[in-house]
Amino acid sequence: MNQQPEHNPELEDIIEVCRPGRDLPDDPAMLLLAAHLAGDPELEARYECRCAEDRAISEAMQQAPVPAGLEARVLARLAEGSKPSARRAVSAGARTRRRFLRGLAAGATSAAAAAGILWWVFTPRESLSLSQLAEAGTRKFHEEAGIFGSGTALMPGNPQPPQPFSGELRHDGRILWRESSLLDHPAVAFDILNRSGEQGILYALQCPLDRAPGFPPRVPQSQTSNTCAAVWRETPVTYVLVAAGNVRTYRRFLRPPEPIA
Amino acid sequence: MVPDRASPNIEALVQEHAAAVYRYAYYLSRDQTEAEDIVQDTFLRATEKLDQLRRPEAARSWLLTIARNGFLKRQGGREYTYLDDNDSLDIVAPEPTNEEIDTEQLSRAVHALPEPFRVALLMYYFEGLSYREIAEQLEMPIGTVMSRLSRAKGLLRANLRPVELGSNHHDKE
Repeated sequence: MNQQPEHNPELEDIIEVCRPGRDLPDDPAMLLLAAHLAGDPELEARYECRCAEDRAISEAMQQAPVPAGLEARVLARLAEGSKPSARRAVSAGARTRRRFLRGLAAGATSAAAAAGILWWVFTPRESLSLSQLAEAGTRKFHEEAGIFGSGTALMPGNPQPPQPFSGELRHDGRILWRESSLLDHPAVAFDILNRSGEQGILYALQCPLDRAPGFPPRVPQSQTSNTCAAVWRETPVTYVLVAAGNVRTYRRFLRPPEPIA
Repeated sequence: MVPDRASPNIEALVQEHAAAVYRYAYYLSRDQTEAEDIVQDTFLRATEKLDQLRRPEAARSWLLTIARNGFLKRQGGREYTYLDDNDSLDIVAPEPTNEEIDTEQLSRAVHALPEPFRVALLMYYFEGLSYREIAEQLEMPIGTVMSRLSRAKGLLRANLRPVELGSNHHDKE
């Protein structure tokens, strides 16, 4: 049994995974480890180093950032989640009545939204500049940080937004829409959360704009230390994209250029 | 009548443990939205099974277990099917460092691990389970868990390596 610790794969695994306090002292692997450590100061030093590294990694893991308002959101959804059982007890008549009222409310909301859009379309306004929109979008992005992700998921079967999502952006995660405004123009805010974690808000609105590119530029028109904003128009809708992060992050929202035929 | 043992209410559990459950879910899922969904599901399940929590001091590990099971269920049995433990994933594991670890780099390093390694590693580091407990919970042979953990830690070390090179850790001699 004269084994070289460095060439003993079993011992290497034991050094990695066995820890005092976590494993019992009479654990067979711990006993084997103790026997090796007793006669090998170099191995002992390596083992202590591994233990210290484990502690540092465990501590660092507990420090990972957590999104603001998490607890409040969880509690709010728990309160919603507790309703189904109560809902089941509601009579069929009450359900029918509620369905009717819900339909009525949805109809009224749609009519109001349509009237609002018509009013806005036929009201003359001054033209806006790209930088005005980009800066307003950036301000709004920060103002709306607390309600990010609070809208309706953009998916078939759900109520659809009054303005469409841009065809120039790639999206592989979750998009929720809600009503908002930008420089006194009614707008739809699309909260975008990509699978790889990038966050951004796309504002879609109809407004007088002298000149605008027909697709999001590779270089955003406005940048701050933590956001990038770009404006473009896909007639008749003007889009303002505000992405959290640098230019590289911003570009992850853009569809890759198609090859030239 | 003897009063019942004080059982924690769900609100107190959320306030105390939601952050830890989120961190764990984020390390597991690699996605902030999915992590928050897992947190939500975890506390919904916890609400339903609150009477099973007999020791309030065990709440954290109880919730983390629910979160992990929820995550694995979401994977639909996909995990562990694409990685054979005999697959070659040999790496030259750098020596450990005791320097402070950047959480963002750590997060990236953990996320870069293949899922079966990531799960075992997080059970070890985040849940603080022993290799035997991990083997029991994953219903896997002890030897498999040991070698998987050992290799996962080596991979993690290798993934963290670029940070060390960039931050004056290399000239210790």
